[in-house]
Amino acid sequence: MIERIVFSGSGGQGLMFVGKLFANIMVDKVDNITFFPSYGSEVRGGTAHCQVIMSSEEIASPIIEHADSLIMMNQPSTDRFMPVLTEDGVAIINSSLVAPLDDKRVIYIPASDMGLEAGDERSANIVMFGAFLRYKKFLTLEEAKEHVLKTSVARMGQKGADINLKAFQAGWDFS
Amino acid sequence: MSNKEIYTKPAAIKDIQTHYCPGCGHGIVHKLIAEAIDELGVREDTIAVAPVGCSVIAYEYFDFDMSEAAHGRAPAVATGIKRACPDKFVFAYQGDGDLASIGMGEIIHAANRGENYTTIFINNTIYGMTGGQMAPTTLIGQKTATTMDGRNQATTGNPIRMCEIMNVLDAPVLIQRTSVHNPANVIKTKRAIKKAFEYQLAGKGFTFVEVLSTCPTYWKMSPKAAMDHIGSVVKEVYPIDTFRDIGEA
Amino acid sequence: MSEQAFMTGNDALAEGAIRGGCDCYFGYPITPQNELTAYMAKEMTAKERVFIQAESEVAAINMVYGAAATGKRAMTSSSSPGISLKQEGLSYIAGARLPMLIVNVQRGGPGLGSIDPSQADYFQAVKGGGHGDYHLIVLAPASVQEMHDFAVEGFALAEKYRTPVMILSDGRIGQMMEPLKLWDKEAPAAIAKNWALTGAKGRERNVIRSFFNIIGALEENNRILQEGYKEIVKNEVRYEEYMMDDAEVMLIAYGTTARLCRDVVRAFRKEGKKVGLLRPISLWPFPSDVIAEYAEKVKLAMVVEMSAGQMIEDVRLACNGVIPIEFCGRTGGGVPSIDQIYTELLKLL
Repeated sequence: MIERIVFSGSGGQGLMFVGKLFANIMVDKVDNITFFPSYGSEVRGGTAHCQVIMSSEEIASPIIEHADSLIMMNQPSTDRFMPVLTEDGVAIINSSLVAPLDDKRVIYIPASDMGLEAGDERSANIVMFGAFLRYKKFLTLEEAKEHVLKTSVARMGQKGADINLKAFQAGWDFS
Repeated sequence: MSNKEIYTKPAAIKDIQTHYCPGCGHGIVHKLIAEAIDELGVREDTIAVAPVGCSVIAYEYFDFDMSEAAHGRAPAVATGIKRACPDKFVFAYQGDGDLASIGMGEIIHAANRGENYTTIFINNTIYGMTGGQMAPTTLIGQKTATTMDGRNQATTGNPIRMCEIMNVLDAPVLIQRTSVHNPANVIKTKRAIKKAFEYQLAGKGFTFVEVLSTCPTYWKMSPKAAMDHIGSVVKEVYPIDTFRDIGEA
Repeated sequence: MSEQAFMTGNDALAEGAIRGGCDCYFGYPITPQNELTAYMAKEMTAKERVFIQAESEVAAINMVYGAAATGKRAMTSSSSPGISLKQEGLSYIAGARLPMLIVNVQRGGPGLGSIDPSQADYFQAVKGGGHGDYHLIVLAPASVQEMHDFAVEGFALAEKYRTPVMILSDGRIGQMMEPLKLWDKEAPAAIAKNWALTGAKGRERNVIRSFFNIIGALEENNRILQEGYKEIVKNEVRYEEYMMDDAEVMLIAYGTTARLCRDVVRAFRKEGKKVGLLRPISLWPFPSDVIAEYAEKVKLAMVVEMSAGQMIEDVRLACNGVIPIEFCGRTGGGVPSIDQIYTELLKLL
């Protein structure tokens, strides 16, 4: 088993947050895992991203050369990472901000609009996270919501956490 | 009739001959420091830092724990010692090339952090150990190995006044300039050093005593003329003064 | 059960140093090791140990010198340009025989370079980056776990030989997160330090110095240093062998590139090609003897580095012309891909 995932958006869209949250949840569930934030010359062309690799074998490099999953919040992210997506990979793309592609591997989700509906456009990352987890079946809904709630409360208080939970559910239901 | 002891060598200084030139002020200041340490009873708690310069082997003369520091870095070394061992008594002994040139960054920041150690700064307006080159403290017109026609303000800048620079910082609790060019000033220097030590022992913070001293060898003067030179010329550029003293506050 | 964590290499190293008994940390900001300094700012302060953000790398290493002179466990960390600035202090520390820990999370150079990962400071680390005849014990972690473990044991190792220990890492290992087991025992015991500056109470005064301006005295200090280095070479060589038993081709790499090479070895093994990996863990002392032994058994060696080729010189010395030594690498913050290493080695087979 190997799963190579890129979370990418612009700075402030919270994809680093989501990627780290995901890695922290998965660390107890897989044999090997690495999380790598974008730094250095990786930070270019308007993307702030992170990479998570999970594998039943040891992981040589935390840098993804071929991705199984992409969670893409904006156009520069999509332009940059679609070329490394494997043939049977999947890309969850925020259609509120990204022009549609003619590609069977893509799931479009209007995450920014749905985030706004949930109470705050900034919860779009959590909408994407919900859709991704539902599609990939890494976690049950209850388990996922528990982690989102716990992390969100610690980070932004109860009000922000409530919005995030709504956003997560919306993303989960969309997929 | 019994003999009365009127002078004895401080316990904090070893009974050996120093390498300092005749008429050099280092020996005087070493003795004043040793006396103050004896009087305060802290010899066994003392950790001192020697600089690079003529006093590089000050640890051969003092009889307490000492570390040598790289050129200019004594304030950083003293900071490391004092933070690691806040209950020890720590002082750094630095010359003007060491402190005001290569070590300007370290002294300013140690002072600015208010590190609770004492700096004894010997200003004799020249690099002695390396052969009498210009120091940042060298007077305008002063002839040195690197300013053969006298220090020229246009190409080498002006004498740096460290007490005055220190005095713009908020943290130091004692900033004083003294001299050892005559007995009255030697006594005042002793008082300043002892006060600085007492402030440190009371945990008040950063203390800085600049001592105007001689270099008869590279000033090319007799010891007596060198002492007189401080009184007539050097102290006009470097006023003998107490710039800051938080007192008993 | 030991305590599990999921941390960046920088954080794991900081936590390792704390658990290894670090009394004093002195740092200065530089990417890609800033997380380490920030971690220490928080945790050392919380534990009422010494943390100072120094005014420069030069000041930081000299603060370490002062703290280490008192016998306390002191450390600093930086990245390549900052490590260059610390070389003066390191030379003094080595000369004064002070135990301490220094961490280099390497980035690309020369000059300001880039903040991307690199292994271009190998020469500086193992050949004595400062002036004079001295060595550091240099350990090269290849995982977040080793970042932690080497920091835990670094102080005790330094104390055993009265020598500075360097952990030579790079931006990739510093920045990546991996699961690890945290050290959950007491800090390794400190060795009695009768040389330390603690106040001359009931004993002769101690002096810490690297200045010996009397004929023969400096030579004597150097003799003592060299005696110590002989012991280190005898006792502290570390390396890891990966599928070397029947190997006909030997990859040699440390740190980040060693991780990549493990994947390359697996790829060749799947094709039935007998490739193995020799990973130096201690870069000084260098595992010359074991490399020399393998040079008698394998047909070819390829050294993989994120540099123009530095460790390869030590490999050549060890192999002494017995087998061809090839090189694969990238410079300037570039990291070879697994595909690149595989392809370059394939061409040689």
